[in-house]
Amino acid sequence: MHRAVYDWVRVGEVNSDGAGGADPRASFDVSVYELTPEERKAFDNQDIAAFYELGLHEVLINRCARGRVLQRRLPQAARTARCPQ
Amino acid sequence: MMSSAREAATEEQREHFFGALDFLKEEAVKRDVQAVVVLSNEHYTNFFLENFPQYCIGLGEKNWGPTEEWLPIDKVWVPGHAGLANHIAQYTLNHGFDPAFSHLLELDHGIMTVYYELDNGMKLPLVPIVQNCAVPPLVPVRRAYEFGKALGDAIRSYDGLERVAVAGAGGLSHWIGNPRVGDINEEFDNWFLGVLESGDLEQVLDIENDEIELAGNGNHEMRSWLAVAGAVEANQSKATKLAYEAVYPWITGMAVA
Repeated sequence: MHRAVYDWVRVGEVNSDGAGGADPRASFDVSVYELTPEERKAFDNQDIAAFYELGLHEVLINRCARGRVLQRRLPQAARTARCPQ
Repeated sequence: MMSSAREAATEEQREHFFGALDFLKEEAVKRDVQAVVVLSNEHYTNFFLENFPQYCIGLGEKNWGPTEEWLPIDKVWVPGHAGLANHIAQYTLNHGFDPAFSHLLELDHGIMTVYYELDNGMKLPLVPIVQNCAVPPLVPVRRAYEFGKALGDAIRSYDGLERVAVAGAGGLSHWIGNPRVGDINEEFDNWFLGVLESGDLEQVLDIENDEIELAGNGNHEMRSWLAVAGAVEANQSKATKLAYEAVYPWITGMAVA
């Protein structure tokens, strides 16, 4: 679960192009991770409270929560992240 | 939050807090600071559980940041200072520490918010040092302070620069990723700042992790503050509190000292 959430957070940070392209997290494939049914449900539901109950590290919960908020509130074009060339 | 939700603090709090940072920026300019070393927590930005160093020194000619999409700071290549950084790494290796190193660090909010306030143009050479203040097992507080002492000695023994600033970045009390998010322990923060100002650091150097967490899991970042206290100890410098604000919208006790 830690690896899945970490990778989800990072793919959004590293791959954001800031040019209005597709949300890099939209194509994130969580099925490649060995998650328990409870973990998979928490991931699919973006359930921060469930992550906490399942023992996800609190720094990752924080980063995940901020990524989720960003995903809901901002269109891709509004993002400014760029991957170093 | 100080950057991404700046206006959420009251006007008075912003004046106090950013006024103190502005004062430091002006002092840095006035003193013609040539480079800055910033210590801050590693927030799963450069490292994950398969490899999580307690310290990592950015040796590169440049580093990139900020990592976060939500941080309203331009994403740039931040100039490093390879000479100073390599000297710090070698010096601390020679004096009982085993820091990791990286030739390319990603700089997250921990370092970038403070660095940006010091130099909005982000041209000042930066030696970033990321510390583990979040993922157990953690360096004892006294060890963080001792690392800071070695860091200060390293900087003073470096011939390549005359004026180097050192900053410790991180919260005072705050909780993240758990049900207490939003709490601030003002009593602890004021006690801690009082200890720094008194110079009687023995009061805090043997503090245990569970006691640190009375002021939140984010309060482990006090290690950055104490590393800086160690770095300047040889100058017989005591801290001067410039500002303290419990900024609840930023979920953190915010201080400049």
